[in-house]
Amino acid sequence: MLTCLKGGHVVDPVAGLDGPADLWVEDGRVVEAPDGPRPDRIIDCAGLVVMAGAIDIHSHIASGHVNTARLLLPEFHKAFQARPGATKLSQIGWTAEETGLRYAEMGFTLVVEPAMAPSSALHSHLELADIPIIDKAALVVLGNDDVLLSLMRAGESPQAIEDYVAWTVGSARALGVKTINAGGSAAFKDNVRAFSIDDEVPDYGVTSRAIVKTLQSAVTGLKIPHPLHVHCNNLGIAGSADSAAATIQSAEGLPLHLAHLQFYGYGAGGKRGFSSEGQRLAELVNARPEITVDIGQVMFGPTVTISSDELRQFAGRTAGSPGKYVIMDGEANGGGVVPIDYKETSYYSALQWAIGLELFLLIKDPWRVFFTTDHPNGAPFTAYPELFALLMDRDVRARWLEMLPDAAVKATCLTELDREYTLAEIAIMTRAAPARLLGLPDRGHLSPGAVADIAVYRPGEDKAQMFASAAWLLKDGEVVVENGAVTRRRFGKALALKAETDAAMGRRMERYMQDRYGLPAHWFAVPQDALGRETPFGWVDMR
Amino acid sequence: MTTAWIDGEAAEHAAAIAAAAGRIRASRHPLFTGDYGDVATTRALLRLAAQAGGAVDQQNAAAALGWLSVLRETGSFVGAPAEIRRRADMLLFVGPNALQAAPELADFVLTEQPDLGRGKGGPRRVLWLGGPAALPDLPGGGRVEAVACAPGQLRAALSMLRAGVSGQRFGKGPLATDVIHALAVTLREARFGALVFAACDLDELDLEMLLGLVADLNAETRWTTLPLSGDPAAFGAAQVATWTAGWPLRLGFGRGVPEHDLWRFDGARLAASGECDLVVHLGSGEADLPEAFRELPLIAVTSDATAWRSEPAIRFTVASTSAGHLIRFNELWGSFVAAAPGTASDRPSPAELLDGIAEALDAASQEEAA
Repeated sequence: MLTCLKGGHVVDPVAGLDGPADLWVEDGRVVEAPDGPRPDRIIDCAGLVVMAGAIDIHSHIASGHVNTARLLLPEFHKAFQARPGATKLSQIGWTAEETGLRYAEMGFTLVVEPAMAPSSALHSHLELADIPIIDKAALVVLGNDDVLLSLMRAGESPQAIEDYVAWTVGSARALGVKTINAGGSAAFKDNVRAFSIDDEVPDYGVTSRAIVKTLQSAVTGLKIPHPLHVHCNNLGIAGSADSAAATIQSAEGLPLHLAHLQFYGYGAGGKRGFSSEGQRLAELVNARPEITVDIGQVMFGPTVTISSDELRQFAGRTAGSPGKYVIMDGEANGGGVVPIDYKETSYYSALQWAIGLELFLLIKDPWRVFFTTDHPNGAPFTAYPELFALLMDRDVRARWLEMLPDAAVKATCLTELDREYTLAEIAIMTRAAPARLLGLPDRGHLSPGAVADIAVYRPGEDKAQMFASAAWLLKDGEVVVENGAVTRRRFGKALALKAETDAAMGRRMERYMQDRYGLPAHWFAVPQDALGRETPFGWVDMR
Repeated sequence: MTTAWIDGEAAEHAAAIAAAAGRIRASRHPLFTGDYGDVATTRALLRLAAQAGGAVDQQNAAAALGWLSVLRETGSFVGAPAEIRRRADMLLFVGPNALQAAPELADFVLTEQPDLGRGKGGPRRVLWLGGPAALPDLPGGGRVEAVACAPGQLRAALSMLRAGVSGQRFGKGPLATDVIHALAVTLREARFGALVFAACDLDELDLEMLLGLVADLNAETRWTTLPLSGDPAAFGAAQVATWTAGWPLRLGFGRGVPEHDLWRFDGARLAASGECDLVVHLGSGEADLPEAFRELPLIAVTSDATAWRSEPAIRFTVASTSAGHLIRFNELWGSFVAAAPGTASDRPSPAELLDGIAEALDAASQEEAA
């Protein structure tokens, strides 16, 4: 079917488009304007803004830990059902089904789960397979696992480590590799309560820095498009900026992505011992072109933190609200689930909110900074429209600042920042840059040949309203959302790398699993026919 | 090959599907239950129940749900069996049936000595609070140190132990003061300890106290828990229900949105009270059918084709093997595992059958709407 999106204001920074244009779609792809045939369908986009479908690179939507959060907090879901329009947590996209619907309604077409444990990759993919409409992907987590740490301790070759990383990526059907407080969870199981970049993991004798560097080299050597995705040490504590700074400096010219930088934007200054280091981190990022970051913006209201950083979740457990938590001593990372309430009356929450915005506004290159709330850790993903409004309109920021404690307002430079993101910058940050970062050349833009994932918005003064509700969404060329409501429910794919795995490493992993656990290594695998979808995966080339 | 019977008479499969859909459609409040737990079947059952506005239970749900209830009230430390096997230098079994609930899991954890972390290379101490009178031999030949306590006194003993571990005063109870002090010292000396218990066998207040003890121990050293649910299928079904509906089993879809209530949607209670008027039951055969459901109209989905003495209204036989990967929750792995493909069957899988009924139900609804 030939479809024409006619007369919209097309914002496609990759093609250099920021003005009126027609878009043509056929067989799921954007095509050149045809010479002869009339379109089977015309979608009138006059007065509307047309962009590629949005891509979220870091959102905890599908894993054993996410399901544990659901199990731990039934009251959130009950409150949502009783008052779906009025309950803060109605925004959380709580089930797999709601996750897909809510993302689609906002014009998203691809979302990446950033923390898939190798041993429960199947669980993650089962949940991903039940998320309708959008495409999905997952990053597999390494860096606290006995195999990697043992290979490093034994001084094995970079090739052996690359083979292991490739085997893990292939088994787990991942789109990239993440490390979370590298070595920190392993150390915590040996009762280490504080762990920084140059600390050694007991018994293995390798530092967190060495783990990050080893994985960075392996990811680069394997030509995995997405740089190593790093959750640094010491998340959330006063002084955490030092950990992020040290990690940024450790990149040494090779690509490195730092996740949810806001949670590291903290100094220990001021009478409360909690101050902003947003400017310092932004300057560091600006100076290092090999670094990309996402923010992990905090927005106000109750939510739940879900993380494979077991050590930091353990440390934060007593601040839980409501006062309950689950700490998981998994093999490798483990993790924790701790509910939290970011109150706008709290100095700490307010400053966290401000630090996130400082980073957004002070990091100059929109190709290297990504919107996230680290869903649900900083806020539910449905807070994005409000976040875009905050970035695009300094008057909106001023109104929010008026509601915050004076002490927090004095502790941030936000009041001095006049920058307003343009639509083109929003399109870069939410479409073009994520596609490039993930190695997806046919996404994030609207040139002929691109996947016809197209979001159409009704512009207005209220930017939050604009981005909350797509006027149209086409997924693979098919209309799935009209006027902010899903009109067609279908299933997308999970994007995974075409990883070539070394047979010898496969045999070695089989021996390891039998020797250490008496269990088969194929339990790590995610068989295609297991997921209950006709075409569960879309394959992505290595660089 | 006959795969369907209506009132005990062999029937065309399509006719039986239509009849099943008709029965469900006519039902005031159907109950979907039985002995299931693989992901495909659970997904299909939830879809069908949601479409029919019915209630969903699982035959052994109680084994998993008591533990989940406590977990969501109080939170918990939980350990992966694989990590406990390799790292735990001390295990504290609690309750008389701690080994019986999941013997395979206990074997898995106990067979090898720790080879990770601070306890690496050393012996593993195994203590048992409130164990059976005759302690079993452990796999791997280890010795158990018994701490005698009557089953009814476990909570009191655990509360004394919590006080002892935290350095607080405590009164008289089932254990002597010097036993508590010695045990508290022992537990605090663990490098990585795991408290192992049959979650299905302890009451909720016992479980809360036990989880509190582990939280207290973590103030200084590392402890975790290994809850044995007794039925991984029920736990797996609860997991699938949680990402599908937002809640674990038991569920009801009668009001158009999923609702979760352990009491309201207890299948046995629904049957006894007359609230449900039709049971869709998955099992291996007639012997699997609980007494509670024998007096109600029944759609039976079974893997055994043997005729029933008392035939249900509609009976289907489904495949007992799968040519594809069957996904089940595995307690050793602590997550879902794909079983190796088996032989292909001429019969539909349970999921295919349930999907077929759902399609027929949908078609009937659309026909009526038209």
